[in-house]
Amino acid sequence: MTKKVSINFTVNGDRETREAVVGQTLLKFIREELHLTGTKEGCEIGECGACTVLLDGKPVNSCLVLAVELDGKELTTIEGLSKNGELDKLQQAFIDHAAFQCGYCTPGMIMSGKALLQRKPNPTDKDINDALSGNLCRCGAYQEIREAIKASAKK
Amino acid sequence: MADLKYVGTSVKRKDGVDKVTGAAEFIDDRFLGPLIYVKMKKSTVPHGKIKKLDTSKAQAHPGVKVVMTGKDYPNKIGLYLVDRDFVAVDKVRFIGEPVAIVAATSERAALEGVELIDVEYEELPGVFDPREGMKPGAPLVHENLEAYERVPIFYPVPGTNISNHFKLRKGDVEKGFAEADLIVERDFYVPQMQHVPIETHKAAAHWSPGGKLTVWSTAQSPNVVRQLLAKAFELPMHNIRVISSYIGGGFGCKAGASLEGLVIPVAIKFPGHVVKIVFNREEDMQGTFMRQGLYSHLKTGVRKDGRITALEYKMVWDGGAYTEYGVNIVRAAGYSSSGAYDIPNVKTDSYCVYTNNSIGGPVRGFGMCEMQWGIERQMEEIARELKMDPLEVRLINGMKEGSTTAAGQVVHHVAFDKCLKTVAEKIGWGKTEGKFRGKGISGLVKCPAQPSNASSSAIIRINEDGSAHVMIGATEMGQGMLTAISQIAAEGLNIPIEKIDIKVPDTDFTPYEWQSVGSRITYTCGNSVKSAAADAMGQIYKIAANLLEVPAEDLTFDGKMVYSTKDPNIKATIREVADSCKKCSGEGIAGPIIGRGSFVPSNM
Repeated sequence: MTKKVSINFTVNGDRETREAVVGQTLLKFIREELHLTGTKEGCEIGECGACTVLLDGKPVNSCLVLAVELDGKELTTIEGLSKNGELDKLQQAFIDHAAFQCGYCTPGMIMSGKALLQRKPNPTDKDINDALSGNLCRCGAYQEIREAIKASAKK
Repeated sequence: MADLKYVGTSVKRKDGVDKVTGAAEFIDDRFLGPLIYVKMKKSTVPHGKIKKLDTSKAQAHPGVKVVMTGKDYPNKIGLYLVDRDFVAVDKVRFIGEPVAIVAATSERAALEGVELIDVEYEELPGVFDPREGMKPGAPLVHENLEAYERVPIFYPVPGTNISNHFKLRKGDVEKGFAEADLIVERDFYVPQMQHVPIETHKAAAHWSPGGKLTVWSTAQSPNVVRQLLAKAFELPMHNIRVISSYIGGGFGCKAGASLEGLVIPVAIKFPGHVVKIVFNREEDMQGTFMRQGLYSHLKTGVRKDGRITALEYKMVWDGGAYTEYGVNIVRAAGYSSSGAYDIPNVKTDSYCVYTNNSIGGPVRGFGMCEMQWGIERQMEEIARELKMDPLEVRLINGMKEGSTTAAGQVVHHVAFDKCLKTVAEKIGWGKTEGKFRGKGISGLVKCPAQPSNASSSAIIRINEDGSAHVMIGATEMGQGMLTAISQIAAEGLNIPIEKIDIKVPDTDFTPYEWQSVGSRITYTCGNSVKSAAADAMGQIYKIAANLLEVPAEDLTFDGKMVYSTKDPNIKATIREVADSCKKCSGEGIAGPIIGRGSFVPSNM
């Protein structure tokens, strides 16, 4: 009934071969098959950005990508940012600038921010606004999020 | 106030590293075990009799474990008015109301099962505007209103859609209107609104054959969920364990119980399984709670000098299909109905009206914003009619020392005029800036609707090395509770915040907390933590006094050592005291230190 295909990919630096259910979203695959629950489900229709991950370095809403599309690609999730217990400097900046409240949108925000910094090491306010326009924060930490990204860029 | 080391300082959030690394466990990250997925068959009509409900095809679908309908749930649920079936029985009252649930071994099978359920409705005329709905002869959303169990401070009107009529009379409004030079009469409206937390509502249940029910939930107030489930499923409280987690935004819609009960009969049928339900965005919008809509009608009498002599305030609330918290929001807005102003004569009628819209419930402000939208707009209208400065009208009528509220309470320590004047000065009130910029000033009073005995409690366990575990029942939904409470504990125990571990609630282990609502946690839970810390410190001094053979009053603690203020050489490390203290002779003095504290606000 459910068809599966074999896919090869890299997740947070590790090479993997897994079976993916045809029709399953990358979001469900990440959470339920890879058990990387840092990636959050908010709307499942690409509106909120809570499920943002990097595919070959580019930010995507993982709820709008099929798991089978991961084949041959490199996936980075929030769990892949800190290395050997050391926080990524953007993660540290989020803590230093109190750039979250409930924290549910935070992994997506950080992934979008990370993608921006890789593309533009010194972003302007407008660059940040544009890059994070697909990430919603209901608690309202936008100001602090922008400050965190700017501070991280300077380091 | 004594010098504070931790409270009032800027500290890093306690949940910081968890939240930036993806390690923070929200509820859906904790559903482990053999899973059963539950999906709902939802009503497609706002009001209708269920003529036919055939679940046989769904029941026979591969992967489907069971299909359940309203009759599988023993009782209704409701916080103040017990009016809601977990799953509709005989009729539906709003679009999105569950009419059946399908439990399956995969999400896909559950969704396919839902599609196979055959349901037919006989549509009934609906009520969508509460002003129409409260009229005699309007279609009834609940025919048996008078039979519903309720808390006796609420007044439903049997034979109508009015689930609560709150009445307030202060002074004599007719006399007040007679003294007025001008009567201003206006209508205002606030629509229903949704909270839209980024994390939708989610829950899971597990039943062990011994009769223990475990519920995981996005609940803001796990103790309330436990209380409601205990009643609805007729279970003793010690056999219900409600586990909350980090919450991805609450704003009120996760107070009370919403979807938890849906999965419990399935869990009981399949012991050992984790039966989960996750609302999608649409279900969250339709099926949880809404800010209640409000139609306000205000009639205000005012003298030429700007003094208000009387207020008649009629509020008609869109309570939605079931009341949950709604009746109490209507009550709170009713007794606060003169807002931040001292008005001698007030007549208020606040009605909660059933409609076929989504369920009304709490959201930031608990009715205060909706009610005061009318008051503050009316102040602007009065100023316009009198050609006065709206700030001036507010200052003339604003509460002062000794003023009385609508409910007749005398208020003290009021600085309303000072607040208004400060704001006016800071925003350059009345000054033009050479560019277009809208400016406004409004007052606000917040009268919480908490019972006078809304209480908190805390347990502090001191570890052998002097570090501590703080256990409380409050929830962390972004407000920073974990950090604030840790600061209070650190202050009370005189140890750094880094030496404190603090947990999110699990009703089997964390002590009672009334609810995490209404901006009360830092105050009430904070005070219970403060007293638990004092209790622990008392034990530390008592044990140390015995060990060091000096009076406890002479001892002090610097975070590492307990020593005598009279002779600093008489001292003991916290480890010596806290690690099941024994004398040098080897005789044991005391076991582990556990501080306890509980708090209920006084003079309420």
